Amino acid sequence: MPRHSTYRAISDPTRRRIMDLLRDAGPLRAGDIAERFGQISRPAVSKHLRILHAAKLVRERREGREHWYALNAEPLRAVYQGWIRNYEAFWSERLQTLKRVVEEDERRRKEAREK
Amino acid sequence: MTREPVTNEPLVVRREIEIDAPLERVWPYIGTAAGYARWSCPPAAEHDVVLEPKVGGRFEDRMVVGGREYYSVGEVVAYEPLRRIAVAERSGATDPTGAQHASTFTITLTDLGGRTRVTVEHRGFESLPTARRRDAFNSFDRGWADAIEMLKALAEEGH
Repeated sequence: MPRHSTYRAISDPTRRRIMDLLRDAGPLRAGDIAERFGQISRPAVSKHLRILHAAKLVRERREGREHWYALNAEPLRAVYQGWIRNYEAFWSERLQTLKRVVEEDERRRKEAREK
Repeated sequence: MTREPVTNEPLVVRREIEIDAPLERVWPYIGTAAGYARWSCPPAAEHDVVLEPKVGGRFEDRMVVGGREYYSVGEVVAYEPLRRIAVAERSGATDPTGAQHASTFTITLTDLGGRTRVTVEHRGFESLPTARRRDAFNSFDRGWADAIEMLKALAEEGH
């Protein structure tokens, strides 16, 4: 099982957006990230980056006085793939069939009412 | 002479986690549709939940995970605010003979004095054909294990 800090990191939608941004446009500095997210303050971005860093989901590199952040997707993959793969293994068959059953029930009830 | 071991023990998923938040903060994630939807499946998914907050209330769970849609329906069979919810889910055929699968999950909160223990039990795997039973059990077991970690993260950070 992944460490709890990984779940903590991904539980926040803003942190997920930061990870997406780093994946698409990284490495970036905290200021760059704050700029792209208008409504999120620089201190808030720093706080999110600290939590992501603690979970090893971002790597930090210093160049002079600048801190650059890059996504480390590996722990993320472990959580999502494991969780999602788990669904596909069993649930898909069970639940896709259920959906058809429920929709069929609905259709029959509707037809019965319209008689 | 050898005998195959016969297991009469029912397969029951049982997963627990302790959360650093009081009952009042955790309960909305258990007892409301919007709260429940936020942790009970991977966050990348579209997820819509119907949860009528009473015994006999309707339960529906629709999600898109890994690009595929999943759907279940059921009925709330226990609803005790700040304490417990149980949902009986109905499923369609899981094998070519059309065997029905009915399962029930129960989520119980225990007050640890400012902290909360969340216990999930999921039972009903016996209604599945034997060949599929263990796989299904493992799948639900792992799914709940991931989900309660997400619940803990959400409740502790007060989202």
